[in-house]
Amino acid sequence: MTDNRPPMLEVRDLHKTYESRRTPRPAVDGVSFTVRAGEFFTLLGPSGCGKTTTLRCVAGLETPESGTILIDGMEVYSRDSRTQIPTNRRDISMVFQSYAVWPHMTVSGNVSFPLEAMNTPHAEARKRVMDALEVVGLADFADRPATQLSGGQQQRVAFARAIVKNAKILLLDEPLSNLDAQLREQMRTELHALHKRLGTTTLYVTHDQDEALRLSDRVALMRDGSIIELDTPRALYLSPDKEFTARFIGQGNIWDCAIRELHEGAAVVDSKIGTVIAMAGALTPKSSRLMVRPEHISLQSSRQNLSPNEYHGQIVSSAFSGRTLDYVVVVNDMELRVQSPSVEIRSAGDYVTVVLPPERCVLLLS
Amino acid sequence: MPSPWPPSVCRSSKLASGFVQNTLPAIVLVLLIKEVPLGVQMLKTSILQIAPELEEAGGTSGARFSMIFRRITLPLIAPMFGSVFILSFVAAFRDISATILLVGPNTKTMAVMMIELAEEGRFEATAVVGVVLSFVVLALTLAMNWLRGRVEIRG
Ligand SMILES: Nc1ncnc2c1ncn2[C@@H]1O[C@H](COP(=O)(O)OP(=O)(O)OP(=O)(O)O)[C@@H](O)[C@H]1O
Ligand SMILES: [Mg+2]
Repeated sequence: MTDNRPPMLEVRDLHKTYESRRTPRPAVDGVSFTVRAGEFFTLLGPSGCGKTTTLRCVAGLETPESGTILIDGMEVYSRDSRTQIPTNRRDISMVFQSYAVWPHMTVSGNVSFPLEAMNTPHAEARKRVMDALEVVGLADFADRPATQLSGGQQQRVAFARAIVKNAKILLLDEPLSNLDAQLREQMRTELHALHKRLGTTTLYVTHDQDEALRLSDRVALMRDGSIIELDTPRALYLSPDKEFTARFIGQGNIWDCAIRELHEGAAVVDSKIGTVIAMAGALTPKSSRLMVRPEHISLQSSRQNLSPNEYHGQIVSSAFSGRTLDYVVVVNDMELRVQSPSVEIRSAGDYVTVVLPPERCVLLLS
Repeated sequence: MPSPWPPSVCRSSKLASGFVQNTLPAIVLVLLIKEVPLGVQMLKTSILQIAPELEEAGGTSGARFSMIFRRITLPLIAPMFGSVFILSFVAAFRDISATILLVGPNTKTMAVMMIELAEEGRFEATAVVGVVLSFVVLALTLAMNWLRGRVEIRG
């Protein structure tokens, strides 16, 4: 869908090890990805996996050991040609996790700083500052000292400061993680709308999978300094390749399986609960694990005659959480977690028919 | 008035005797040597306390080092500068131990003057100088607290 847009940011084989560490393990270990113009691209991963380090290398706040970084086709870092363009001459802007709003300036002072650095004429700068504040909904706060702002407002100031200079790439380091749940939800929606409106190429860092899935065009899942899997949110959630991806993004019932037959688009596998028809992809021949998400399993009333991918089961526990019911169902001595909408309520002890939709049975590399 | 220094010390270096004959630079130098280390230490801590992101945000906003220093770093540590200055000044102002051997007839610190007056038995005069000295120190201390408060607000 978006693949014909030109690349705006290219990171190739990036390596970075912090020297200060006693046992140097690379913080970023061979990361490569391309962000296309206008794309919202997210680096997702557990704490300490190197997301911030990657972002800081792109910003020029950190010097990698090796690799290449191109912004809009121009080398800003390259080990081979010994290029290292300083941060202030890279066409980027950044929102820090701590916001880094300057406490000794007013709101408009903060937002106009990038324009002053570019020597923008005064009248034009004034207008652009007001426009940026308008976008983030802080137009009435222009003359407030930055210290008299709530966390959410500071976050908006940091945002306005980042968008005011119309940089080619917007770098966002967990900009929502310091907000309370309600505000985070609201800002997430606003961020989405803002990206739709401005269309700025965005590199986003988060450890929150919901945020990543909701906002991004594509997500790179990282672990220990490397990208494990890179795809659209839908593909990562519905048809991940790796067990790590399936476990990190969403929940899953994952168990061992052996492939019996392989057809175009489908595979028949043997596993503890019986024979399962699952989706097949390029990596299927090497797969040894089967994954079904709890909300994709449906429970029906018990019956004698079963079709393929239907199994006899018994509910051993059920937990009511309003919108959904979380069951544990035992099928052939194996426990499956099942999540159903609360339209039909079953209770522990009930015998049920467990239905696994073949297109939601995913084979994984362990 | 004879020099308060032993003659051997005076003769030992031209520099020293120069200072002693004209005692003001000597007092200034000694007080500087005494107060600067603490001041530098305090400034160092306050600079270290500035979150590095505040300066990095200057870079990602497109500013060069000189602009970041002038517009971000300096204003953030300025209140601490004032506070360190006042603290050193107060300490120097009421110093006796380092200055008592260096004062001359025309270059007396108030603290030393109090001691001399007390030795002469002029206790009313001593008290007057003491009150003045206390007020100056009090005023400066209040000023420093005010600056500290501003540092915290900025914090
Ligand atoms: N300045 C530094 N000096 C030494 N080691 C560092 C430094 N910054 C990060 N590291 C290490 O590098 C690794 C990657 O850190 P990084 O900050 O990139 O992680 P992250 O993915 O952003 O994590 P988080 O989600 O917790 O922010 C970590 O193991 C961390 O301990
Ligand atoms: Mg981080």
